[in-house]
Amino acid sequence: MTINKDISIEELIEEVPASVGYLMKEGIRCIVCGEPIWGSLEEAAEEKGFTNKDIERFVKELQVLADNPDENVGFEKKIDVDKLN
Amino acid sequence: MNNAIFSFPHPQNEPIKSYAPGSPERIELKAKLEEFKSQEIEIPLIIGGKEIFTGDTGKVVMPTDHGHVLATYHKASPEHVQMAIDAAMKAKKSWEEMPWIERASITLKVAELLATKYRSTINAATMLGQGKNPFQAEIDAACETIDFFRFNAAYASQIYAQQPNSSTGVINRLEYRPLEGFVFALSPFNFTSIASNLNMAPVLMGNVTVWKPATTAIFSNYWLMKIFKEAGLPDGVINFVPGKGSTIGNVIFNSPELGGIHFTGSTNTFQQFWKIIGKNITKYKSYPRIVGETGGKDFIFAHSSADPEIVSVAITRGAFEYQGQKCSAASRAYIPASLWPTIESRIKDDVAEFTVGDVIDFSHFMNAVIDEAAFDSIANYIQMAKDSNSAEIIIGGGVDKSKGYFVEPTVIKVTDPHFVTMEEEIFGPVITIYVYDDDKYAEALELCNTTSPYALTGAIFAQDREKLLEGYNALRYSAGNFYLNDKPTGAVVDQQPFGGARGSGTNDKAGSYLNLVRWTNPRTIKETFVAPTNYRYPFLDKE
Repeated sequence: MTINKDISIEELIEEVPASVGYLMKEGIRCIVCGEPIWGSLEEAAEEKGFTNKDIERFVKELQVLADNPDENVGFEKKIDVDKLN
Repeated sequence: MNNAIFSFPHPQNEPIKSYAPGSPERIELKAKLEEFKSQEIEIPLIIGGKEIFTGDTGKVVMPTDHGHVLATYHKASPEHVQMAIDAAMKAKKSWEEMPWIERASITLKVAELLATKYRSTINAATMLGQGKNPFQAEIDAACETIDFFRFNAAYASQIYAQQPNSSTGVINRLEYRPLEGFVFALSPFNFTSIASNLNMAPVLMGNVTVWKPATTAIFSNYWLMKIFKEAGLPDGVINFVPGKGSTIGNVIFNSPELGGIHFTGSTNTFQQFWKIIGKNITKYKSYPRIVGETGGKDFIFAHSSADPEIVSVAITRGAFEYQGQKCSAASRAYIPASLWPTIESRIKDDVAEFTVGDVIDFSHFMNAVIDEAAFDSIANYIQMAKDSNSAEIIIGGGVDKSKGYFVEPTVIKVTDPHFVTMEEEIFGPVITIYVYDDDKYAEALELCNTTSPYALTGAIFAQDREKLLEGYNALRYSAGNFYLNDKPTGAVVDQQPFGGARGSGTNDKAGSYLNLVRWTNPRTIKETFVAPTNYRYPFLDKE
């Protein structure tokens, strides 16, 4: 799938579960009360004060996560169950 | 001819069944769990009483066994949402004009169906779909849902009976109209009873709803819809539209007919749609009534005079039941240094006995968190604690999502009272402890009061009554539901009306008349028997 700044957080999480951890580490909580927040990636980022340049970076890095769902993509953003245990 | 002036009596809370080995309810529940697990159903939209299969589908899986599919559900498009609004508005006139006794009779029939014929159905659906053990399902899906129906009928009796005074020659009345428009019910995953009440409280008062259920609670919520219909709820009074929140919200918040919102969910979502409503305010025919219960960062606060055994049990029960996925769950605790060794030891002993596992196995105190996204979010908070120098995981910390979304009961001890897990809502089985110096009670109270933007639930523990009172006063605005020497969870309908203020919502107290009043739009009616025939008042006369 293609990630862009207009993607809804709900769709992003559904398609790229690792985005939850990635965005949390950037300071954006997209799961609250166990459910995804509403709005787009851009809106969620702007709410936290991120610039257009930051958002462009998020899009690029999330695209890597989307394209490599089963691999460690080097961000150490994904949940590694074994490591946590 | 229906000319009775009727009042529903004040009921009793529904007794909680034990599900002890060998009990009839346990046998029936186990059979229903097996039945549901052996099939995969299809869940449509229900608009104007018609089932609609949109073809845009998603899967409903068990949180404790995410490879097991319970159902395929259909998602609403913007066109379907508009259809739901139209169906609600079409049903509105006849529903609001139906005598309220008849409306209440339908809701009371739902209560009886849930108490008898469908008790195992709604409990089993909630266990499988939302990851609750039998006790957690029973107190929510059966008992609390039933209580909402029965007590709301009594509250409606009280509300409708309240009428203004009338002077000689004049009759004054209040007509408790419903809102002019439809109500958008936006329900959470964690309580089947809340999903029911977000619709049925407005509906009892003559309103109609468009209902977006939480995607992860669709299985039990679909059964609610079926039971509502069997009880005689007319088509179109509640319209069931699963789907993406923002897709649905976009249509809802642009509708001139939006009359109100009944919401339980996140603070973020609540604030977001409040902003949208504000932006759209000139579009609406009336000011939408906004009622919402949102997040919490609920606390346990102990004074050095507290009984450490009682505090320990409050922490384990308050933080870990239903995996901490209650709006009211304890998620931060302030403990005096003198009590901490005893409390720590007791918590460790108790948690060591907990097992975490499948809902099918009734021996587990805890089960899974709701879905992968929630699991990942919780696991990240745990990882933050592992990575920090100011936090230490003293109990638990393990996670595993290979079969179900399991998170160990986790206790984090921090030296920084503003560490992220002391401030942000985690919505999982994680509690963070801050140990304070015994002689800094007042400072610690202030810390508790100012650390979080929320104010939903909180509990204070002290045997010294003056210190208890000091905490009671210092924390006056820090919780809408405040507990003295008891855990901050487990509010019961009619006993502890539920809701918080600050960032936690509009504090409209579900489980009391205060919530039902919000779904009325009173019209004051004055009738004068012999009206004046001259405009002149006596003071105008010449002396």
